[in-house]
Amino acid sequence: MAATKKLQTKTVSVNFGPQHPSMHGVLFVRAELDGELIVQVEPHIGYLHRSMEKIFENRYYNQCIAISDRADYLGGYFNETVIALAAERLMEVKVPERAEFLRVILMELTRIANHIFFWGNFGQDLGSFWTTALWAWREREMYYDIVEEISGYRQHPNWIRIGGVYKDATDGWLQKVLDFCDEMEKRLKIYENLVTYNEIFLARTKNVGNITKKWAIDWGITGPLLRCAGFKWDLRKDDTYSVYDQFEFDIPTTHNGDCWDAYRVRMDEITESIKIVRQAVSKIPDGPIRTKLPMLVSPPRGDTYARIEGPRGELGCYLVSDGSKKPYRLKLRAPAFVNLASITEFLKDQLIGDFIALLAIYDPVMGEVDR
Amino acid sequence: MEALKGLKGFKILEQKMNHGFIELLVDKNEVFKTLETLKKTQSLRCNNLHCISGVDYVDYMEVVYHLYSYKLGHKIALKVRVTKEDNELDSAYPLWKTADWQEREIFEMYGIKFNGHPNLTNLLLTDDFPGYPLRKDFPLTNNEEWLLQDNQTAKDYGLPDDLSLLLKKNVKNNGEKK
Repeated sequence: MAATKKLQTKTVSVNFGPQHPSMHGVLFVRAELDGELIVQVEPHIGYLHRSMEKIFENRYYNQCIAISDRADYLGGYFNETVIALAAERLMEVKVPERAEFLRVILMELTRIANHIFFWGNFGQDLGSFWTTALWAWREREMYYDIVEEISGYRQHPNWIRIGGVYKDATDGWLQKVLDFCDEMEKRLKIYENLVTYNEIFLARTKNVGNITKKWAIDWGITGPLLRCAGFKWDLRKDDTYSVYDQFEFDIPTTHNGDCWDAYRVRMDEITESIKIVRQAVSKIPDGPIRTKLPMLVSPPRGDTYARIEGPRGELGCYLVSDGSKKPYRLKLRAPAFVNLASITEFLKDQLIGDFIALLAIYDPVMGEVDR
Repeated sequence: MEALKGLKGFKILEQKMNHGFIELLVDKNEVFKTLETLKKTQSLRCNNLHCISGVDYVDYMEVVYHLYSYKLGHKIALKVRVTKEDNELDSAYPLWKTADWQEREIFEMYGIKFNGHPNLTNLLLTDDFPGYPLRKDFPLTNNEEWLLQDNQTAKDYGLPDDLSLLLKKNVKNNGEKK
């Protein structure tokens, strides 16, 4: 009797985060579920908002660089470089070649560390429990040892200066970088064997989510998420900055735009980054590491927009100067912020079981989203 | 630059090159029309809106749209000026969905309203946050009501006495040494 009657269903709302082991930082998502289907997603951000852009307006430029580390706390060198680039562009300062090479080495090492961290967390999110995460942290520690030696700090280096860098690298340090690359290459093979074609991993990531080129451009998505949809676009090649035009490397792309592809692109990027680091170490010239500039710089009046390829996409900096020692306005165009906006549409009509995998490929760093 | 000539529907008030960007200034009522033309004209095809930022110049506020053409490789910075009283713009959301959060951020930080935006509420700040923090006239010290009056100490509020000095009205912490 009861079976003939139509069942009354209603949607259930599920709160996810802000404190959750699978959530990357303090992101709060409220999902409306119809059975197992997600019908509506409502992200709430701002839990880590420190009003960074207001603080920038009341600090000297070198202090801004120190604070910017806290935006994307997994890739401090990128935030520092983009601010330095914008200020240098306004001041028309030429950075010594050696400093540019050192910046590139540090940025690419950071990209490797960031993607390795993604690998670990992605595996953990998908149920490998601690194995991948702890392995990734072990490898990241090798990176931190190298970084600590040159800048003195682990996560917030404060090492890049306007017109150059803070400390020079020794030959011993460069040798350590090469050793790190060799070690990383070996470990990458182990990672691939462990995860990439694992049956469970494939089942949870293959054909889950579909990012298309048109959709990604519409949402302003950049970085690995755009490349996994088959769009070969990398600021290092297409709008080159620093000395990236002197290196040979590929831009890895895939074509399905699913979770596995987003993972694949990042793993390939590690290989490419290792290539760049090796070339940079072999080509690095001797010379000064900083242009002579006053302690407190004051760029001339004007505005400019600088952008670099961060680990998550286009990291931009819109700098307005009124000729004083403090920036009049300094906006960080955070790739994680812009990318994450699209989850309202991306997670819709997906299954709740895929929720974690779909969110993890964004690789969001909430420090950068909230600033 | 040549392709910009002969476009109809809007008037370019100012045009110059600025560090690789073609910088345009248009009237605030024509911003949607301009963005649409820049996106859809075959010779321009600016299909990527990568950054929207607001700046407060005290006399007026400026919204800057940074556009890029993946196909043709040119960069355009479109500037629009609004005042604090007359602060309504047309939203770019119908053209690019990426305008969603970026416009919400500008709305909460500068108080610029975007007509046609589907959900113009506070994003990073709490819903009841007073004022617009990135405007230049936003007080850097705490709200007046948080500060102690002349005859009060921190103990009156159950706080340790050490805090009295910090919460006194005449102490300003602007991050500057005087």
